[in-house]
Amino acid sequence: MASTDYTKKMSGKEKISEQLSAYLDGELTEGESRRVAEMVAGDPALSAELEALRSVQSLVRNLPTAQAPADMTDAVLTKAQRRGDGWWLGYLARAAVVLLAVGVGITVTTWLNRPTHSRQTKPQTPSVLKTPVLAKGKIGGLASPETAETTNVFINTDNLLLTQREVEHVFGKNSIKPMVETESPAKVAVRPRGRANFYNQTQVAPTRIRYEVVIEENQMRQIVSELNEIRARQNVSQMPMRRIKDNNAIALAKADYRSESTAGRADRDTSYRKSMRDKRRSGEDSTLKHIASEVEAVKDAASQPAATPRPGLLARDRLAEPTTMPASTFVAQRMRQKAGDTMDQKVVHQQAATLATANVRQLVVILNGVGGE
Amino acid sequence: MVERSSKVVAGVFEDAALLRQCRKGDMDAFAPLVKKYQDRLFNSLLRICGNYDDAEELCQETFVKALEGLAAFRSQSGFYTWLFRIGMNLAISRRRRSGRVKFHSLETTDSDGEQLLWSADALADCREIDPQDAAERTDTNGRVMAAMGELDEEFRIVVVLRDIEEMNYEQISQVMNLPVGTVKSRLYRARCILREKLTELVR
Repeated sequence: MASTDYTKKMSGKEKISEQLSAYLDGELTEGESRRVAEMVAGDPALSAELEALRSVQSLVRNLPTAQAPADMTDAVLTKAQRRGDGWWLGYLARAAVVLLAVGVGITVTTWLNRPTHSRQTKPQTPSVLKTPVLAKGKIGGLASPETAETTNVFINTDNLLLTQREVEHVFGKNSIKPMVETESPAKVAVRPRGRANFYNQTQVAPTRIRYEVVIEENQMRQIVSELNEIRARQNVSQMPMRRIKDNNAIALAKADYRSESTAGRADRDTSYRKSMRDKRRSGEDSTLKHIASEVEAVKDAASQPAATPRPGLLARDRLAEPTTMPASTFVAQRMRQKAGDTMDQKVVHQQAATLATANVRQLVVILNGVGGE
Repeated sequence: MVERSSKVVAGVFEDAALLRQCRKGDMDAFAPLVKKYQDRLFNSLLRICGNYDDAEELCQETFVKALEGLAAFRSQSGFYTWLFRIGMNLAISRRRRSGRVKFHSLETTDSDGEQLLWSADALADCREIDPQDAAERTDTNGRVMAAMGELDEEFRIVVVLRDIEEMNYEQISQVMNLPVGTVKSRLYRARCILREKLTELVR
């Protein structure tokens, strides 16, 4: 097609010709028009082109003007009227389709959300509603906070069962029933990492138990203090375990290990074990010292007035800065999360609204560890 | 020029007043708007689609669509450009559905007798002109229309809007929803193609 030739990128000459076309239409600025006029005056080829364009324009302009049929107005209004009369039918049809779709949707949703245990006559109450805090109605009527603060307590332990019992005892003593989530332990194959664990071996991954409660602010201090005592008794480092992410460091450690002779490794491991044993015997083990100092710190903290900042474990081991969000939001979130489909959403909103007016705090306790008694 | 622009401004105010009445539910207020623009719109559509019946139907459809869409019409662009935008869009849609347009020129009299009778009458407007002159003019116009029919739609529309409807580049850019620069280059290219096709007629 001839026209496709003109869709190619324009050359400099074509740009000038394009200006001629715009000049013809009086669409150039005064300065541009003057320049084009000067160029045309000094270039016969351009002048001829301008004339040709003008001639084309004239041919198109001279086409006779056709008039619309005389009955155009009537035809338009009749057509619009006719279509207007039919509009409501269209809307009605669309509305019917929408209603039908909504009806089907509701039926399907109801069917999908039907109780799975038909014999169960009592609706299952989410655990958060069972908490004495809510049941006793202690929260309502207290000062209304804008946000609810979350406090995290992270406890690493090598005797998980015992620690779990102790933590639950603390909650029980304070008449609090927390929500509990447990991540089951899994046997995982551990790749060699560094010199301490060269051979492939199977290790038990630590179990993670997460307690979550919503409590009053004045309960928080007491409970956290008791939890910290439990925490300080654990005979493992309380710093959260971190995965080695630096691949170069791992590669270097592996290279070091390979370059070391077997005899050298044995000597080094033996001497390390010996030095640790000696330290323990002489009472210089830094871990024990550290734990003892932490216990003292917790005791100090418990004895100090509430206004002073809490020193020691809690402040250091917070997993993150306290999370702040509207109290109703997080309570509703948690309740929905826990209640799932079994709970009436209206009740969720009501409970959340009640909690939002209270001076509440969220406490999350995470046990991370292995072993039993 | 001043007189023309003052007329344009007055026309815009007049349109706005009628449109306000239409929005209030007064359908009769739309009739003057149809009367005001029907010839210009019809003529442009005829040159774009090349067929009387199609042009008539498109013209009616344009006005009806405009009436239906009055609630969505914002007065930033004038009613006139908005109307033409609807019309051009409808013409483009129809062409996409039905394929390439066929223009009726005097050179194709064999196939479309009735239609061309109208074309000859309309093009020559021969009531007061010497028959020979009329025949020549009809022949010229037929060739021009045939050449325009061979243009791509995008080129044909800008030529019609500029040289027949006498819109300025800014108005064309509003109707076609294109940058002014694109309008400028399309118009130039369209004229170049027409010049090639009408070599014998171009001086």
